[in-house]
Amino acid sequence: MIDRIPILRIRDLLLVSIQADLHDILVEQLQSDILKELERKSARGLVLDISALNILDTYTARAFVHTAQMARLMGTRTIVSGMTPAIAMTLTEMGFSAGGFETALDLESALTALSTLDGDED
Amino acid sequence: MLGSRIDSDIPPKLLAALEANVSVPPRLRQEIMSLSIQNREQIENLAASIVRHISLFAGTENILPILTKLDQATSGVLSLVPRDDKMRVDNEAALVLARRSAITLAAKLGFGPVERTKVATAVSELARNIVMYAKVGEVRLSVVTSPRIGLAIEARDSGPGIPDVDKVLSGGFRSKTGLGMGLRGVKNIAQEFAVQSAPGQGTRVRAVFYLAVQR
Repeated sequence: MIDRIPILRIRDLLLVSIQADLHDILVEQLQSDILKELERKSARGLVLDISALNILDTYTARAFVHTAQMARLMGTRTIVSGMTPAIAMTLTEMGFSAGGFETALDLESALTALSTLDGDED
Repeated sequence: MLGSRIDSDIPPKLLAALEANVSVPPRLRQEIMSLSIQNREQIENLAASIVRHISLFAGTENILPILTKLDQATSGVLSLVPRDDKMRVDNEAALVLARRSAITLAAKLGFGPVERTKVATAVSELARNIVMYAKVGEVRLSVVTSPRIGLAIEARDSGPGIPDVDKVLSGGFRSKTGLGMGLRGVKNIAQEFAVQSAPGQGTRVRAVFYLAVQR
């Protein structure tokens, strides 16, 4: 099992592609790594791409909400991209409110949203 | 096992054994013949396709007998017959394993991707509650055949128990850690759901997911 998820920086954006089966320690580690990276150098946007995941339980989804909130306080907008229909249906039926983080269909849409000034284009 | 090669004689053997019982359409034939690497997801998808095909063309009562024949023909390499599973849950790694087992069993029962995700998510929530509150417990996955084919998840622990189960399930109780949300969530996605719990007496949760009726 891997113990760390890499964070890539592309200009003023941070990109995290989550490929591993997430467990709690990994999620906590990622959260603190993101905050450390934001402290080192500010970023305009953070993209968490979860297209490789086929499970996202409410604990992990809440961890993403918290990450987005903390990043927001540090001036960074967070977008979760690539959620599969299966995960979207499951979370919604479970009663998890999707309002906690911004989402995009895929990585490209997330990057487009972050690179336009108001994020409304496309 | 993961990523190792499957002997080239396995796909034709599997196909022949399946064809001895039901007619196999070209698409399924191709899915079987293209099986080459022992990749968990590929085998799960194939298992689900085979089960759905059998239930559609031979009836649900023939699923287990035919799968047994397929396993015999392929020396059990793919282990298509769904089997009950019991796991001790006491840490993160066990939680990850529990949900993987849930996905595999759900696939062997013919559950589609969305239903597999629901089952695995439910296992994840229940197993997490065990790890967080009781530290150690057990998750059982079992095959249900009546009234329909389904998968039952049973999570048991001897932890502190839940003081007011009704309040937790109705949303009147919100823990910082999300116990309530997890349990309520499982109740919302399962077709059958029951909790037995009292302070000091541990917790027992049973959630059943039935295979959706074929269109």
